[in-house]
Amino acid sequence: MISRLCRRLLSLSLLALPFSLFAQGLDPAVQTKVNAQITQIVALATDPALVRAVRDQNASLPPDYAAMTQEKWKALPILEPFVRSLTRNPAAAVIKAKKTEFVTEAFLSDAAGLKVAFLAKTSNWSHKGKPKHDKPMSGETWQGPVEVDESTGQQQIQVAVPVLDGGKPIGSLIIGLSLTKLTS
Amino acid sequence: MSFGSTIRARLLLLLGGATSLAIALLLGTLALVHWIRTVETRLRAETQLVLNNSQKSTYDLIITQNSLQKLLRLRDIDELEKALAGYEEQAKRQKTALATRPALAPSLAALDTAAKTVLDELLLGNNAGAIDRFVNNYSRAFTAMLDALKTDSDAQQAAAQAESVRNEAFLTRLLIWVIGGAAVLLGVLIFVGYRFQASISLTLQTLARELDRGAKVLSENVAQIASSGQTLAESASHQAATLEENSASLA
Repeated sequence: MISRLCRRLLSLSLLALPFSLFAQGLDPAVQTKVNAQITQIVALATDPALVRAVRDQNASLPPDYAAMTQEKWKALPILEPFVRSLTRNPAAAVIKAKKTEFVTEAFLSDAAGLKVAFLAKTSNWSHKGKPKHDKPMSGETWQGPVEVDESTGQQQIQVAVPVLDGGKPIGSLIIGLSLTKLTS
Repeated sequence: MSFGSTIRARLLLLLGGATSLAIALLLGTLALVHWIRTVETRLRAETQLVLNNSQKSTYDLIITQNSLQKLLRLRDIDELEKALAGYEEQAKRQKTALATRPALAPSLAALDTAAKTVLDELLLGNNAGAIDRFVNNYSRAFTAMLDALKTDSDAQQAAAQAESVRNEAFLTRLLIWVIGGAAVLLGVLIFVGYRFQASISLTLQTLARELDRGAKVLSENVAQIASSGQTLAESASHQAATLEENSASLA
């Protein structure tokens, strides 16, 4: 009985393997395009407005930011002034102005993973503890797996780069890229 | 009043009556035709309006659905806010247009509620949840709304057709009454004409009899005069003979 179960699990694992490999890796041509986008994102992360915004938030966290919890964040409508303030600040304006047609989402986090600016409200108020924030905080670039955007039905991939201040990571910039658009 | 003037007056009366009746019938027929055309035009316009309203409502519903669907694809809050205003304006327009049809109120309310569940998720930034509500709530309510719209439009069309049938039946009845009325009037005219002819004939017969009697009297008088003339001539002749005899005897 147990051995039959094990065999079934093994079969399922073998069936899922190709999909898993496809999700993890990208076609080299597509990866080249993604790399080109990452270069631009790295450049964007050095924009003085972004660096200043992250640095200021790290230095002094506003009380309403400090009081924000994941539950409160989840219940906040996107048109609430608090959320809108994160889409209308100078850093958000820069991200919006410099985003390419391939960008599906973008958000800037401070050292603690709390939001500094974004284009669309994120699912989480803090991304601390998640690789997309922790990796850039260690100075590295992070690239996520291919995923399907439920809103558009398009394949997308997230990449994250550190926001550096004097060569030291002070935050992260996470950008969603439309693979459908990149490959078309 | 003389005999001739009485006949002229009666003839004028008959002619006047017949002319008045003909004019009344003509005007009545014209008025009836005009009324029938007016009713037909109104019914046609009403039926067309029902069809137009139905098409426009369907179009409005589809536009609203597209507006809502478009919101689901947007991630940028600025774009979303702008598109949301457009959607709300369109939804308001749709609501106003459909408010004139009470039969659709329950379906419209259900559609509004379903749209609200989508927007609630969307406004929380939960696009996946919004899509789920759109597929499971809004789409079903939308289909029900379209069904209700079709049912209501069919009912309105059926009502217009029923009114058309009612009007047609009324017109048929009216036509029968008009023809009947015209026949009665024609009968009255024939009766009056007959009475008029009879009265003229009676007068003429009386006149002929009187003329006949007058002629007879005249003839008798002429005979009598002739007889008297004969007698007179005979008397004159006799008198002349007497005178001649007397003269001879005297001579």
